[in-house]
Amino acid sequence: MLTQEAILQTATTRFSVDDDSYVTQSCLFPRVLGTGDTEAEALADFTFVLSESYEELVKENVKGYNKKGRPAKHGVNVHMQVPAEIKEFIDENAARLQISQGDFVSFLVSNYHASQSKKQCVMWVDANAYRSMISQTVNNAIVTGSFGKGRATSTTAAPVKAVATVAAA
Amino acid sequence: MAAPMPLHKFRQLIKEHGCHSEQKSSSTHFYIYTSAGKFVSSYAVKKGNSVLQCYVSEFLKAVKG
Repeated sequence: MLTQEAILQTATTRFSVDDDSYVTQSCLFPRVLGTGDTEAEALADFTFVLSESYEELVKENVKGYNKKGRPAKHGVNVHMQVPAEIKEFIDENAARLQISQGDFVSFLVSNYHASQSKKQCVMWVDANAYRSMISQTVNNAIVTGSFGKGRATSTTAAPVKAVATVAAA
Repeated sequence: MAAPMPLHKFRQLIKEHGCHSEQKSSSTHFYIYTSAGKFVSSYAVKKGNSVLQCYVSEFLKAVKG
């Protein structure tokens, strides 16, 4: 039977650009989500909502979750060769979490997506910071009257040079 | 960034799929059930009176099986 602890241990937090928010979710029980402005907030939210909704898992009306083993996920079989230590790693961790090997592989994939989303988040934040810097530079140039004169709009140092030019004239 | 779905629209969507939502006391989250009482998914109302897209897409995934 899936334990609350196993669900918590397999929870991953990704950054959702769509929602401008962090989202925590476990591949073992994807029906509940935790969200927040920070990773910690999203995880705390997920922990709370899981504690409230876990009872739904063990109720009779959620097929599969109240029996031993994992619920049917209508997945597909995968046959592949991996190095022995990778197989050992999957076996050990699946046994530790009391979940199937397939569930553990799903967790690894979720982790991969989560880390990719955080990279996207950093790029997204950088792009916003860049836009803000450009906007500030243009505003400075307009205030100092240097907009459109020479290279004044391209760097923060340029408006100072432009002001000096005006003063000399 | 996608705009969050207004709460009244999301509740309409829940109804259209034959479900209803309930709020546990002292909880900020809502829980969606089918008319037969089966748990579907959860959502939170956080930013104004709207629901984040991640809750909407998870509900649609869960309800479509």
